[in-house]
Amino acid sequence: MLALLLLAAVASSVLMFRLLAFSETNAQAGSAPERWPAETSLQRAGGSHPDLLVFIHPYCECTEATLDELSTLIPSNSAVTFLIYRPHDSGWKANSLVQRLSAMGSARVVWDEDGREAKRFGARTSGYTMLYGASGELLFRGGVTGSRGHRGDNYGLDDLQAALRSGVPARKAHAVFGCALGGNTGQKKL
Amino acid sequence: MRSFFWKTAVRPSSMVAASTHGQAQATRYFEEAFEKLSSVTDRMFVLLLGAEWVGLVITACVISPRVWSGAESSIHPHVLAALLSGPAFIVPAMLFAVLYPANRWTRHTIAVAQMLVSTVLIDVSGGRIETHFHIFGSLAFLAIYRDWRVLITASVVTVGDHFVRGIWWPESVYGLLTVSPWRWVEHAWWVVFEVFFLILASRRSIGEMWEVAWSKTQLHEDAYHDFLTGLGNRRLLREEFAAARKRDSSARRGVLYIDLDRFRQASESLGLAAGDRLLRMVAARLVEAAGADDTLARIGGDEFVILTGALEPEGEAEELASRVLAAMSKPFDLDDQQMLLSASIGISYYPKDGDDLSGLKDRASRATYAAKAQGRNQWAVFSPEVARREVIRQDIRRDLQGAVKRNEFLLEYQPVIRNNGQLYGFEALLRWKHPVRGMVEPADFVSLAERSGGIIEIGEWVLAEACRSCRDWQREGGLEPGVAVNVSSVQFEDPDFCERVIRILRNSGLQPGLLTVELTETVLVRDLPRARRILQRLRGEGVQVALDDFGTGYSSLSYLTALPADIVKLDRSFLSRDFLDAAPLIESIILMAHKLGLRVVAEGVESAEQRAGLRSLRCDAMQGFYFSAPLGGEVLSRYLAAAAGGQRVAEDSDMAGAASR
Repeated sequence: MLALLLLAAVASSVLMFRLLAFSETNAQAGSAPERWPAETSLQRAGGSHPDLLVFIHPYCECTEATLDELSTLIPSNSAVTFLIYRPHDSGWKANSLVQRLSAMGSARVVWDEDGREAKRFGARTSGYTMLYGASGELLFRGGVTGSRGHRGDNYGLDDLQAALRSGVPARKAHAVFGCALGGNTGQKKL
Repeated sequence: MRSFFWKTAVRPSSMVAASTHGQAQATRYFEEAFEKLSSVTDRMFVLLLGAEWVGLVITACVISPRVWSGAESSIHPHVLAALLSGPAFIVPAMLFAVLYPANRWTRHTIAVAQMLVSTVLIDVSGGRIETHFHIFGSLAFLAIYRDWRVLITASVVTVGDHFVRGIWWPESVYGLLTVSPWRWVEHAWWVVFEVFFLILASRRSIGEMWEVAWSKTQLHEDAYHDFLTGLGNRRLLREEFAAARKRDSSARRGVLYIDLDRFRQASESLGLAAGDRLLRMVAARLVEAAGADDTLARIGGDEFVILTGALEPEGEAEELASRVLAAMSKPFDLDDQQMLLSASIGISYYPKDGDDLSGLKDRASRATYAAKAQGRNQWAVFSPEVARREVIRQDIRRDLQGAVKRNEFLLEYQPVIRNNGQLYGFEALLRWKHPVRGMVEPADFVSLAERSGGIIEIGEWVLAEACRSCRDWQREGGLEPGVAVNVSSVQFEDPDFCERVIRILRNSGLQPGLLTVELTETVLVRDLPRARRILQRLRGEGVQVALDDFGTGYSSLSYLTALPADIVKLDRSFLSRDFLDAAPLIESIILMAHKLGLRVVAEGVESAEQRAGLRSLRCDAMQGFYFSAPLGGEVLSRYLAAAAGGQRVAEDSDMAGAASR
């Protein structure tokens, strides 16, 4: 009985360590440029409209929650751009998630080939959301879900709402829960 | 589990003061109930853990089935974690529950597994708040065990997990809602808070289980124990015997059948309340004498049985019987008086003398009769010889019926001699001339006749025959010796006793003053007012009343004044010891009797020294073998003729011998 208990304890410890180790490597919000990067090929909305960018991995289940949260929030006075990551020669086509994005009214859907725009904006995780003001300053960056695939109130969404309303930059970046965008970046998933 | 719960569980205060046997029984009931509860809960956890494992895998697959790194996908670590939770801790806990049900280590293993399921679920869901409720659900479920230590284990696992992850990997347990690395303290507090109340509820519930166990014990005590003495009853004896046989059917065991000698008389002289107290004292002595493995039961008024534990050496039951006799030999203190009791013990052995309790008891009780026949206050082991004697006893009991009609009884008369040596009278002594067995002593059949009720008919015959003989002595020899007739308790209790005596006396034509009715004190004090009425009526008719066997057992001098009597018959036991030692006591009784106007007759005089001593103490009359053995037939006629011839019978102890020649 004691041997069985010891075996179970060791197995449990290894499992928990692996889980914790996995969890610890995630939750990277990325490093968005403080101002709208000049090298991007994306067009700004122009006028007094802020730009909302959302980087998406088309096969990331957790990003569904991000879209749910954003659908309640997408402002009429901002230009929303979804950047769909597509690796080189992957042959990925619009799947159900992309089709859903396309159906979201005024949203712009852009295929981000090999994640070039993601690199320019410092996005490394699907669901990474950033908001640039009309004058090009960074107002918000990070995730808008509480946890993996979690729908419901969270600080990221609150801060994004506040930034949209006031135009004042959020004080901190928020963890992003999603799959890695482009290559093996060391991030696995959050 | 036993010692664990004995030390920790909440027991009702009433139980603390209970007997060791009661506590053991209540503990047995409690442990049975707790074991049942644990087994059922273990099985529930087997199902729950299995379902949780499946649920965990499904949850992981729904939330994050695959992980993508750019264009590469792989199974999500959460799915792997959910799958591996099975072999890591869920399946071991389930195996423990199946292999070691109701074991406390199983409970703790299940508690650890259940709380780890909660932590994995929280991690898989990214620390979403809803999954934290799983922890509280798990704790509540674990509380079904009502084992507070399991709850402590569960809370230690959860608090430890939250501490480690809260400090070093806060987002894995709190998700984005991490405000501070110290948030784990808040989580731990809520866990401790819930566990505190669950422990309170568990302990309360355990307390209630003890109450139930104790109530069942009390019901059991009532059903299986003698209310008066607290010893077991027949039912307990039967079940303990069956259980002992089931444990080890080849083990040798003894059955001791204990019958208190003359307890009924003692109880009657003391009164019912004191008799009950005496029985309780006897029971306590038996408990002291018996061993821890022995079962004691009271199966009748003054009948007890001890079923011994497994016996190793030969004679162990006999040793126990000796211990019982030794325990009984010490005086019993009852208020201001001391009682002396003895017991007769019969012993039978399982499996030698039988393999069922009823048979063993029966054989032991037969051995008890043998012990009584040998003079009481001893033990006897059942044997074929004992069985043979019992058969004889049964035969005698059967043959007693109709013995009066068949004229098989006869009377012998032992002379009673005055202080001056003159013949005073005779005591009529019953004899049974059995057609097959020859002369049977009264000791061998009177008690049987009393039990069957045949003593009424026999007693009537004795009285009539004694009166007739006495009247014949008057008519034929011109002598006027009185005749004394012994009356048993059964005769005296007969509602028609008084009328019957008067009727027989009148029918015989005997002068009433020549008839003496001898009654023992214990017969009379059973219902003192009634006894006084009867004695007054008999004395009113002119019949003499003698208090027989005075000085034995429970005699009280106060009865001398309370009972209307004419004669006190000093018991032979006074003369069985050194006369010089007994003389002061005899003298006191004689003096007191004389002051109360009673005559004193000493029984059992067997030597000239005793006769001379009694004479010097002014004892009114004497009887015993020194003067004459009981006489009958021709011998009696010659004795009467000699007495009528004017010989002083007391001075010539050869007279009886001459008469017999």
